[in-house]
Order: sequence, then structure tokens, then C-alpha cells
Amino acid sequence: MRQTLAIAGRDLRTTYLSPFGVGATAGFVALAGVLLVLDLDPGQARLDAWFASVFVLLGLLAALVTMRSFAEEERVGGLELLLTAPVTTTQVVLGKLLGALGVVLVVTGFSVVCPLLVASMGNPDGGPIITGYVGLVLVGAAFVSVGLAVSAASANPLVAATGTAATLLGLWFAGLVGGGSTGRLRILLNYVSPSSHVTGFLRGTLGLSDIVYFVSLIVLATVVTGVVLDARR
Amino acid sequence: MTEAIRVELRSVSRRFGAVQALDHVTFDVRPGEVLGLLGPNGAGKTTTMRVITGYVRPDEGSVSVGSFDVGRDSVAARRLIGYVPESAPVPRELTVRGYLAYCTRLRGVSRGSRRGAVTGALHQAGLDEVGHQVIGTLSKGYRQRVALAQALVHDPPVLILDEPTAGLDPRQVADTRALIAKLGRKRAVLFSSHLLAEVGALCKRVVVIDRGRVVAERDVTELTAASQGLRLDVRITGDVEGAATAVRGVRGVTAVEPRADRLIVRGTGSDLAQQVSAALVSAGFGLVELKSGTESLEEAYLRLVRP
Repeated sequence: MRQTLAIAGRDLRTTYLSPFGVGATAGFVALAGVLLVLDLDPGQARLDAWFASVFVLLGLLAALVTMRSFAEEERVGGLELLLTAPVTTTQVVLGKLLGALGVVLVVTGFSVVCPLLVASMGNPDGGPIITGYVGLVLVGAAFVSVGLAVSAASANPLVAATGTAATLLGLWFAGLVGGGSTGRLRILLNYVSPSSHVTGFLRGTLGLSDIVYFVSLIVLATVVTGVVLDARR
Repeated sequence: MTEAIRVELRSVSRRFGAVQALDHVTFDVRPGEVLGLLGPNGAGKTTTMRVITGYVRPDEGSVSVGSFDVGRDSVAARRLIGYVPESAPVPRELTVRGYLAYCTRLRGVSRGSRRGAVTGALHQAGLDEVGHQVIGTLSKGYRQRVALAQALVHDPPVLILDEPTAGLDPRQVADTRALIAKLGRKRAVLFSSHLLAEVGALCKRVVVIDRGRVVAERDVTELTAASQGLRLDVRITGDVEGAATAVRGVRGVTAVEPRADRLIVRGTGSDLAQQVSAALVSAGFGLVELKSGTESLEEAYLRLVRP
């Protein structure tokens, strides 16, 4: 555990000691603010549309954060030092996951300014805001897990970021495609799409099946990342 | 106290697609020695080092570090190794001390020993004065030393150094060589370099690798002296190609290399110079100068790795 936390701490520190971390955080919060203006209905203190947009924005953030985790680190040679240190592949993957998740938590933490702004002007329902943030953390963790798997499979950060964004957008919009199909395909596409599992968070409910879905996605992507890293040796 | 640990490679092979990067490589690195790993670009030096450090798995064969097999007990084996990859990759955002403190945690140094381990590694690598500086603000030479310090922070008995003096200025090269020589007194050090003079100065024993195969493993003195005996540098007048043909038939001559106004003749026998000069004179060539000597390390190396 000590080594896992060391890896996570180092990644979090190097991210926020570089212009990338500050820029990504500022950019995310600024875009979240723009989305708030666009998604807020006049006269209504409802944030469900804003949360839905921020989930998609989180996919782009995950792509940018996780491209550094393995692909960028391999490009500069640091991955070789990490994988030759006396740590297991599991410790490396979990350390990277916690490090990337740390960035997501910091960024979503700063985005709280948006609901606070709405609360200062109106009287929004607190329940959906709390579940919305639980959703942001779960979706963020799932997205960075997928991003880590793509990043581990790529030696080029740009390819990793593009691949992650494409994978997450594909998964997200699979739900919409599923809506236009029928039968088992519809059920399958709806189930695999994260967009089908965030509606509860937007309404202020925490469904067990949704939580199981995101936890399963995190576990599956984490296992895939470990397998990819081992296969590269 | 550093343990006496030996590194052994036994018939290690590794293929990358169509390229046979390592082909049944066998050698060992003994405690208390700096072993030089020589070879042209693409010969397999870096892959050899990566196989020892567990970064790359061999398709065949085995690598052991002390009593640990790198394939089966990879983490335990890696705990005994300090590794400096070729590009000396260190994070530019952290301070030197901050980075080394991270390395102590990563390598499992106990909480109470971490501060001392960082200070010791800083001192050994000559980084005392820049410990609080951000790595990105340091010169390449200092960053190279940081890479060396991270390899020393857990006091490993085995050091694997992939071209640790590449890109350094002459003063830094001399300092790094002195440090490696000092480290090699107690540890098993495998050291690769393109600078043959450096290998000659630092290492008693060398392994020469070419196209993934070990083509020589011996003491530096053996490699340069005993290998092909004498080397004659013969300056002549007349057609160099014709002179080369005349010399090729002389008893004891093993190789003749015509150059602009001279021949480089290799061979054995105490009367080699006399036989060659007699053959040239009798064939009608004028003999301007004849120098006799043994091969330099560079010549021995080039002969071994020549296509």
C-alpha cells in the first residue's frame, strides 16, 4: 500500500507542479461555468442538465489526465524506471489510478463553485446535487480507469488521449444508438453505456445497479491495464 | 552493508517481431567488479540490461540476481538492483530531494532510514549543493547524477548503468567514472558505453555483444593482447592492392587491410615483420616504414563486431 500511495502522490504532485495540472483544472472549471450558463433554465434552480454536460466534460479531462499516466511517462522514459522498481504491476496500476482520480477529485472539487453560485441566487434541491457529485466521482473513476487501459497500450500521449476520448464517447453515445434499436442489441447497448447509468444521479437517487455498473467498469478496466502492462514486458 | 550478489544470465534469448534482439546470451556479473558491456548500436546492450532489470521478459533462458530468479521472483530480484536507463529519465517538476524521497518510498526503504538514504545518495552522487533545486532547472550533467542517485538510494548490491556518461562534459565524465569505480568496489556493476577508452579505464573484464550474441567475454588485457597477436602498420611505395596480394601468402598472416599508402597486416609469429618486409621487397615494392604492435581495444572491438 505504501508504494501504491507513493506512486499516486508523485503523479498528483507532478501534475500540479506542471502548467498542465493548473491549466486543466482552470480550463475544466471555466468550461463548467460556461455550461452552467447554457444549461440553466431561466427561473429554475435545477442542475440536472448541467451535471449531464459535466459528465461528458469529465471524459475529456480523463483523456488528458491519463495520457500522462503511462503513454507520456513511457515517452520520457520514466515508465522504465517505474516498472523496474521493486513494485508489483497491481501496485503500479492502483497507484496510477489513485493519482489520476486525485486530479479528478481536485477538479470536481473546484467545480462546486457552480452549484454554490446557483444556491446563492435560488433554492436548488440539495439531494440531486449530492448524488450528482457522487456520480461525478464514480463516473470520473470509471473514465480514468478506461483511460489508463488505453494509455498503457500506447506509447504516444496524443494517441492515448484521442483513443480514450473516442472510447469514452463511443461508450457514452452507445446508449443513444441503443435507443434507436430493438431487442437484445438495445438492452446490451443501454447496459454498456455509462449515459444509461447516470440518470439516477441526476434525479437524486443512488441506484445499486448503477453503482455496480461503475464499480464493474473500474475493476474491468484496471484488470485490462494490468494485463496490458504485463504483456508489454 | 552491501551484500555480495552475482548476476547470472543463462542462454537468454528475446525476439522483437522479426528481430532477434538476444540470441542465447550467457555471462555473469561478479560482486566487486565493473563489467563493461560493449557493442554497436542495436547490438542488444539495452535489451540485455532490460532483461536483467525485469523490464523485458526473455523468450528463453533465465536471469538470476543473487538467489532470485528475475522471472519467478521479479520484485525480490529488482529490490537488489539500482538501474540507470540510457535517457536518465527523472521528473523535471520535483526537487532533487523530493524525487529521491519518493524513490525511497517506492523502493521500500523503512520510514526511519529514508532521510539518511536521501542524504547519502545525494552525497555519493555529488548533489549536496543542489538538493533543494527543481530538477528541471539543473544541467544535463546534474540530471544524469540525479538518475544515478535514484539508483543508489536503497543501497543496492547490483548496479545496471546504461551509458551513464553519455552527453556529459569531460569533467563530468571523469567525476562519474571515478564514482562508478568507487561503487564497483563493493557492488556488481554492469556498465555499457560507446567510449572504449572509458571501458578500458574502468573495467577489468568486458562482454562484447553483436547482433544479440556474445562474441567475446574476457579480461580487457586478454582481448587486446592475446587475440590476434601482432599488428603491422606498413607504409610502402607502389600499388597498395598488389602489395596486399603479395603479403597475403606470407606464413603467419591472418588478415591484410590495404589503405591509401599503407597496409595493416595482422598475424602471428615472432618473425612476422621480417617475413612481410622480405615478401614486399622481393615483389618489388619500396618499404618506407614498418611499425609493429598489438591491437588496441578499439581495434579488437572493431574486429569482433565487423560484419
